[in-house]
Amino acid sequence: MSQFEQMFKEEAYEQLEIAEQALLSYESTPEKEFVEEAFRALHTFKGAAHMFSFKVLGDFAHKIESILDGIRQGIMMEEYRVTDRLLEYIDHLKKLIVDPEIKDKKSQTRNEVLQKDIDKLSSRVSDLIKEKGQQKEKALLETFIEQEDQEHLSTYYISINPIVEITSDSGHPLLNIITDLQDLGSTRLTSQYDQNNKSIFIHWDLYISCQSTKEELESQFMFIDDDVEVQVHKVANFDLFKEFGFEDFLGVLEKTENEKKLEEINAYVLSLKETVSDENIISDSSENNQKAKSIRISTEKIDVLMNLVSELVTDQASLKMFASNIQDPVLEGVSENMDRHIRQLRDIAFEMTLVPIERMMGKFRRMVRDCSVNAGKEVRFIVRGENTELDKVFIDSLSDPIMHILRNSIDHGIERPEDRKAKGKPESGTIQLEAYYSGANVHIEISDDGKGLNADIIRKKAIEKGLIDEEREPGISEVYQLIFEPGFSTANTVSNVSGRGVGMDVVKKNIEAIRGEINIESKLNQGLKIIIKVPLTLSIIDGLLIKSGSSHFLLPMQVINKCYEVRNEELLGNFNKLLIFDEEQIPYIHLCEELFLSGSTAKEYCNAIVIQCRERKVAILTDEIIGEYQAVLKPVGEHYKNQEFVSGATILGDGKVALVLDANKLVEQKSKQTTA
Amino acid sequence: MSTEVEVTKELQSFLTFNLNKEVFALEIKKVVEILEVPHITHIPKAPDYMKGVVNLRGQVIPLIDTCLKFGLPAIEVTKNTCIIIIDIEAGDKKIRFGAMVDQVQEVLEKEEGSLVPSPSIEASYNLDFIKGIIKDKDKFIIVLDIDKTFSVEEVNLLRKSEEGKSEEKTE
Repeated sequence: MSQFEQMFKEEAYEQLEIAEQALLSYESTPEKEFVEEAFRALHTFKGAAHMFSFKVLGDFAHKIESILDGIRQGIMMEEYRVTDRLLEYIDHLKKLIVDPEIKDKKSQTRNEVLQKDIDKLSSRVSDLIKEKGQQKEKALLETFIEQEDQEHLSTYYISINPIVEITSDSGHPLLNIITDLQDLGSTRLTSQYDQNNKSIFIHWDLYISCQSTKEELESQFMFIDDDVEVQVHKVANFDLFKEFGFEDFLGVLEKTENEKKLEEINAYVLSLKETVSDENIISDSSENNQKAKSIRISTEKIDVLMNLVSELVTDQASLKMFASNIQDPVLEGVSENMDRHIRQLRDIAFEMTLVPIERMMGKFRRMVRDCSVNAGKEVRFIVRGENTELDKVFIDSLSDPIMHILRNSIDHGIERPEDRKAKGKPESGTIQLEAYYSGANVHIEISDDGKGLNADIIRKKAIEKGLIDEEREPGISEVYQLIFEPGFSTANTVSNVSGRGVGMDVVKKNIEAIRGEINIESKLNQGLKIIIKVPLTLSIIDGLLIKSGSSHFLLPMQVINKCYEVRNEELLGNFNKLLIFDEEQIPYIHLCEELFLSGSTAKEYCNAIVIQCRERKVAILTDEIIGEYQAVLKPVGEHYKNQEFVSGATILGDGKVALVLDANKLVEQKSKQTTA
Repeated sequence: MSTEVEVTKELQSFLTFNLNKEVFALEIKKVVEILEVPHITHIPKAPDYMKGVVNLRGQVIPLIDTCLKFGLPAIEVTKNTCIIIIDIEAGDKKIRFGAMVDQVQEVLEKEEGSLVPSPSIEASYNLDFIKGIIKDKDKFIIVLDIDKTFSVEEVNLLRKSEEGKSEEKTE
């Protein structure tokens, strides 16, 4: 049973997330489809809850459903912050999933309060529905009441051209007929008048959805068919007035020429049918077919699979080497085939570990919304490229830094509505999150149209803090990088003036931990853009394989700037450990000396690899550069966690283990040593 | 089948091995496998007894020189030298590592309860690392407490104390 309960919890949680997302979307763009999505999710949730006889959960969900129904019917629109409360209810449900019997005292009282609250709200909804039903005011409501007969509703387009002159005060029977027709169901009438005499009609367009047949409608005009030319077109066999956006479409139609209207309507209906059928596929499949198409796999299993594939890749490398030594054509053929299949297997396995960044967006949307409400600011949050896929490990480790950046943007970046107005900006600020692929990296750009960074103030503060030299004029990007300095982020320095900086050093650290980069672009009063660059996957890296002494090392490609050859003579008597490359003095680290490696052969030349560390360039001297290498990164284990300059290990084709160096850490360690 | 189960229930197995010509044992349930010494990749700047890492079918495994760990002279790799791959539990994590020993001897099957706490042991060994002793043909064999001996905390502790020593020296 517990296994099923676990399944229920997962599934239920997922449904609530969907509902939450839909509500948030509804809040930013009040379209009915979102309400319906939330409704569907809660409905599924309710079903599951009842199935596992979690009555409290099911009943609670049912009440939320009825409120949603109210919104769907077009009432409750005026209710103050109704989504706020709905979200609150959903949060409560999430808590209840964990504790369905409500054992916890705190959630017990909370439950009682919310139960009362929701009872009040939902009873008001049903009252409102009834009330409106009696008045029969709104066509929307009418269709709701007649929901049973909905199937038989059709939408007609009736175009009427007068043959004789009909004026608005003539009392012509046509006018009565039209009024009668309007009682049949949802209608929309547009009348066109003569240019010169505003009381003379020249054309009517009547859109009507009712249960009558085309013949019945035509018969209405029977007695006056000498006076008017009437064309009745059945445009849809369902109620168009219930479609969201139909009203807008009618507005468009008014501006269209009479002859082309029918064509337009048909095109509109066709587009609707497409979306309707698409939706059907989605909703159907989510209930039935989808299960066959995708299955849940625990992340552990994927990890195991990934490990096995990595092993296979390594095994294959040895097999290939062995085969080429033996020079047996049959063996080589087999090896080649294996090679091809393993490559395919590897690609598919790696794909499986990728998940769309959409997974994080739910949290962000919610956070942006809550934060902006609290800060009294209006913020639009736009997400682009949410289908961009990233290694699942990143999704977890990126989420906090991005949350942080977003919060900073809202707290410090986006100005208050009145300030924005004074600056001539739209009152509501915009935060945009865009993700896209760029080579083997994924870029995530977070931009806002707020204040931006004030470089002068940062520079001043930095000089005060002794982070930069007073005489030196640092470049603008260098100045921006200063906000990532640990000491720079306290509230009494920069954040009360130009904002930002709160914990940005942590953000940077987190992103660098997954071998990512973070950059800032900003224009004062125009906004700020933070660009996060992360590699597509953690487990495979591109590196440069080098040999120092008898050991192999791998340097991640992304830090490497340039490689040079250096005569060993140049190093002799070089006491300040500086080398000059391209007219630039660069300090160097000799790997053999630094890591006490043995087996170094005295050669005439050695290789210098210039790497770009956080603040400066450093050259790493090694005996030999072997070449580019695609490595499967593996941890070296907890026992070596104090050897920070080793970020991992990889297995070479001959089965030996090569260490992957973390250049930044190596330099850090070195500079610590020299200062100490 | 059922008899077999009963038999194994009553027996406890120990793996015996040599460290510097002395015989030690450890509980076999912690042992994953025994390897010949493959190519060892040395990790610079690690404590002496942290020999480096080895490739165990694609897994990178840290390697400990068990002799150095107990303050004995470092192991000289011969054809008898072996690596015992061991899993230890650390909190909720499982850590796998290799312990290099001079020679692996045999598997002893002892009745349950034959492992007794050591009354008194020569002071040359750190008592914390000893789980008890078993008796085999008139000989007593020390059984090591693997979880304690090779735990990461232990390794890091040792490292720190070593650091402290070296710092003292430099100062």
